[in-house]
Amino acid sequence: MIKESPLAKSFHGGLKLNGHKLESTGGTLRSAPVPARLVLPLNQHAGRAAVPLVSAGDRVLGYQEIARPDGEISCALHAPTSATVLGVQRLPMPHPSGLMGDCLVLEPDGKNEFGNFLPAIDPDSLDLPTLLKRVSDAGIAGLGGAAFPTATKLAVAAATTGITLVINGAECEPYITCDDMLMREQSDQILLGAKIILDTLGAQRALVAIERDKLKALESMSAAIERLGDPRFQLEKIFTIYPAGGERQLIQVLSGKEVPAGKLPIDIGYLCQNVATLVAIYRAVKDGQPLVSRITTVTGSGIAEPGNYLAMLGTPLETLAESAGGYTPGATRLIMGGPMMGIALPSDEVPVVKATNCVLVLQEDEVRASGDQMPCIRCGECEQICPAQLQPQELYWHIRGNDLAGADELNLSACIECGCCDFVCPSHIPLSQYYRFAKSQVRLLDARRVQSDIARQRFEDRKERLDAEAARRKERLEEKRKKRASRENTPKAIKGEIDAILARTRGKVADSDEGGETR
Amino acid sequence: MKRFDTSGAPYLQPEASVSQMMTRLLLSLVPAAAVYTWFFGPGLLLNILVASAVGLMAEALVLNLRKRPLKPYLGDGSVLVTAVLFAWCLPPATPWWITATGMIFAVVFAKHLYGGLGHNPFNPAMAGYVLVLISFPQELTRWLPITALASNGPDALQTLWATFTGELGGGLQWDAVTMATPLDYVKTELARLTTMPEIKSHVMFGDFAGRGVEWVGNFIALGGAWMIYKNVIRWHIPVAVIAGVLIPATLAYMMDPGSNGSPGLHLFSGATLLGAFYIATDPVSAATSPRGRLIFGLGVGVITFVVRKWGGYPDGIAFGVLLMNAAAPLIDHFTRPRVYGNEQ
Repeated sequence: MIKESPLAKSFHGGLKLNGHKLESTGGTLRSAPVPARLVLPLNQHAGRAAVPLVSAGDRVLGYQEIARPDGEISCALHAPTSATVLGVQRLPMPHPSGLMGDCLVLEPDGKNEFGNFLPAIDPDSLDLPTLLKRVSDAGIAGLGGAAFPTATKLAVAAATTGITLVINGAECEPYITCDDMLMREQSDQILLGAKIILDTLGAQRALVAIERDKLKALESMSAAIERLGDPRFQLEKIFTIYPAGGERQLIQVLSGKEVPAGKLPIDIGYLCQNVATLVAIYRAVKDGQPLVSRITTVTGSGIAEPGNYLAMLGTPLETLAESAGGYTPGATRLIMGGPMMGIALPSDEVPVVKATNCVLVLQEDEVRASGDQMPCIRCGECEQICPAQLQPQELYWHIRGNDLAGADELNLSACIECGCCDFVCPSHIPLSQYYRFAKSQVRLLDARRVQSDIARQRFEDRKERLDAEAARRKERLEEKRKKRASRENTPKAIKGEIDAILARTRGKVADSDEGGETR
Repeated sequence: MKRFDTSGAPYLQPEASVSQMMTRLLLSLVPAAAVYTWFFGPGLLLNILVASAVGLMAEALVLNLRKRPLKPYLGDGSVLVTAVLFAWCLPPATPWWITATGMIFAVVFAKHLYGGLGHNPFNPAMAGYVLVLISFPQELTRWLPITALASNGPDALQTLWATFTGELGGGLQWDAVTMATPLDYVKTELARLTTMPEIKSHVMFGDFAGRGVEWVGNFIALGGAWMIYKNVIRWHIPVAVIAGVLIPATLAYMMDPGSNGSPGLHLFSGATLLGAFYIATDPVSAATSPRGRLIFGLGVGVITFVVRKWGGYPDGIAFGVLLMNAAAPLIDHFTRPRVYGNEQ
C-alpha cells in the first residue's frame, strides 16, 4: 500500500544548499572499464582490517574471497573479476594525508571468469542466521559512506523486536546522485532487499524516505511499491534540507523521536539502511554475488562528462575520471564524498572503495579559501542551523582555550560533523575541523585515563602487597626476638633449635620441588 | 596520476562574511542618515566623518602595536560600524575633540584592551558614548532643533566651523540656537509638574515624539527590518528591546497618562529604535542563544525605561546595553539549549 505523507522538516536547523544534482543525472548508469590494476585496501570498512587469503602469483576467479574478516567488526573482500594476485603492497589510501595502507593488488586477466562460491538462496526460505552469514560472507558494508559492516549492524538489530526499517533514499549532500540513479533504475531490487530484512528480522514496516525534489526516484520507487503490493512498505516524501539523510536526523523527520545520546537508532527501534546496501544484500542472497562493485557519482566542474558509474572496487579514481571524459583544465580539487563531509585527496591514484559514493572534482575558485579566518563575532548563526542543537560557538571557545573537558561537557560528542556551522560562519572559521580534532583528543584522553587508572590500581595493589609483606616480616622478627630472649643457652637447646631450622628448610625445598611458592 | 590540493571539509564556499555583514549594516543606515540630514543639517555626517577617521587611525595604531595584520581588520568594517553608531548618538555639531575622545576610548580601551574584534565584553560605541556623556555633559546635551523650526540656526558652513572649533561663530550663541531633546524636555517639565498634554503641545513635538526624530526612527526601523531580512541580525533582540521599553511604558501610561510619556513617545524618542536594531544587536557583546537574546533585549528595554522615568539622564539605552553586556555571559550560561538526544 502506498501512503504518501509529506513531512515537514522536523529537525533543528539544517541548510538549503544548491544541490548540483542535475549535472550527473542527465545520462543513464554507465559501467567503468576494467582497469589494468585493481587495488583493494584491506581496511576499507569501519573496524579491523581484513586478513588476506591469497598471495602473490595466485590466480583468482571473480567473486572469490581474497581476504577474510578479522573479528566481529570487519569485512571480507572479494575479487571483482578473474585476475592474478600481485601481492599485498603498501599503497596510498583514500585519506587526506595520503596515508599508506596494506592493499591487495590484482591484475585482471581480461577473461572475466566468475566462480560460483556462494550458492543462490531463495529469499522466501531464508532464516536469520543464514542471512547474517551470507551478508558477512558477501563482505557487505554500508554503502552510504560510513562503510560499517552490515552483518554486524543486522545482528545487533536482530536482538530488537518490532523494529521499523528506514530505507534511506535521502541523499542530502550536494552533487551526489548515486542513490538517486539506483532508485530510478533498480527500484524493485531495493525493495526486495528490504523485504528480506523485514521477513528475517520480523520488522513491522519499512519507510522509504526520499526527498521531495527527487521526482524520478519517487516515481520509480512508488511504482515499485505498488508492484510489490506489500502493505508494510510506505513511501515518505521528505523536505530537501541538509542533512536530512543523516540517520539521526532522518529518524527525527520520520518519527519525531530523537536517538538518546550515546545510543544507537536501533535502541529506539529504527534500523536505517542505504538503498545501495539493500541491493547488495538482495544480490548476495538471490544470486550469491558478493560486494565487488558499487555505483559512484563522478561529478563537479572539474569533470568533463559528469555521470554515475558502476565501478569495480579497486578501480583507481584516475580510471574513473578518464571514463568520465577526463578533467577540465581548471580542476584542482579531488574530493571523495560530498562537498560538506567528503575527504580531500592529494592524488587520484587511490582506488574506489566500498565507501566511495562520489568522486567530486572542483575548480579552485569554487572551493572555500583557507586562511581568511576572522575572530568569532558570536553572531550565533551556527547555533541557529546546528542539527544537533549544539552551540558551536561555545564549543569553539572551549576548544580554542584548550578546555576539552568543558567542550565534552557541552556534548561535543553529539556533533555529527555535518559542516553546516562552517558554511554559515561569517568569520570563515573551520569549525567542524576543530570539533573533529577535539573529539579525537577527548578519545585519546579517555584512553589515557583508562590506562593510567589501570597503572594506578596496579601500583596501589603492589604497595599493599609490599606493606603486608613488610608487616609479616616485622612480626616474624618480633617473634624471633622474643624467642631469643627467652631461650636457654644450653648446648641441648641450641641443637634442638638447629634441628628445627633444618627441618623447616627441608620442608621448603620439598615445597619448591613441587613447584610451590618459595618466597 | 594527477596531484590535487587538499584542505579540510567542508569545501563549499561560505555565503556570509564579517565584512559583508558590516557593509550591509552600514548600507541599511543610509536612508535614515539622509532623513536625519534633511531634518537636522549636516552635523551627523560631520560626526561620522570625524569618528570614522579617528577610529580607523586608532585601530591601525593598536593593530600595529599588537602586531596584527592591518588589512583584514581595517577592511572588516567593524570600526566603521562602531564609528557610525557612536557618531549617531552625539548631537550634531559636536566639537571634534569630543568625538575623537569617545572614539579613541571605544577602539583602544573598550575593544582592543580586551582582545579586539570578537572579544570585547562591552559594546565599544556605547562605552565611548557613556564616557563622553559623563565627561562633557554640557556639549552632549546641546541639540540643534530641526531646521524647519530654527530660522536662525547654523547653516552647513557654520556647523562645520562649530565641529572643528567648538565655537558657532557668525555671532550665533549656543543658547540661542540649541534646544533640549524631546526626552530631555519631557523630563525637566515633568519634574516641574507640567502635565504630558501641556508638554506635548510644544512646537517641537510631532505625532508621537519629537518632529523629525519620528521620521528618522521610521527609517531606522525600515533599515533594521531589511537587516533581519538579509540575516545580518536576527529578530530576537530588536523585538525584545522594543517590548522591554513598551510594556512598562504602556502600563505606566495607562495608570497615569498625565505624568508619563505615551508608548509612542518612548518608541520614537531618543535611541529606542537605533538601540533596538543597531546597538543592542551587536553580536559580540550580546547573549548568543535565541532565548538568551530575548532576555538580553528585554533587560535593555526595561533598564532604558527605568533610566528615563527615574534616572538622572533623559535616555537610558546606553546604560541598558552596557549593563546587559555585563550580564550576557551569565544569561548565556543559563539559557543553553537542550542538545539533540539529551534530557534538558
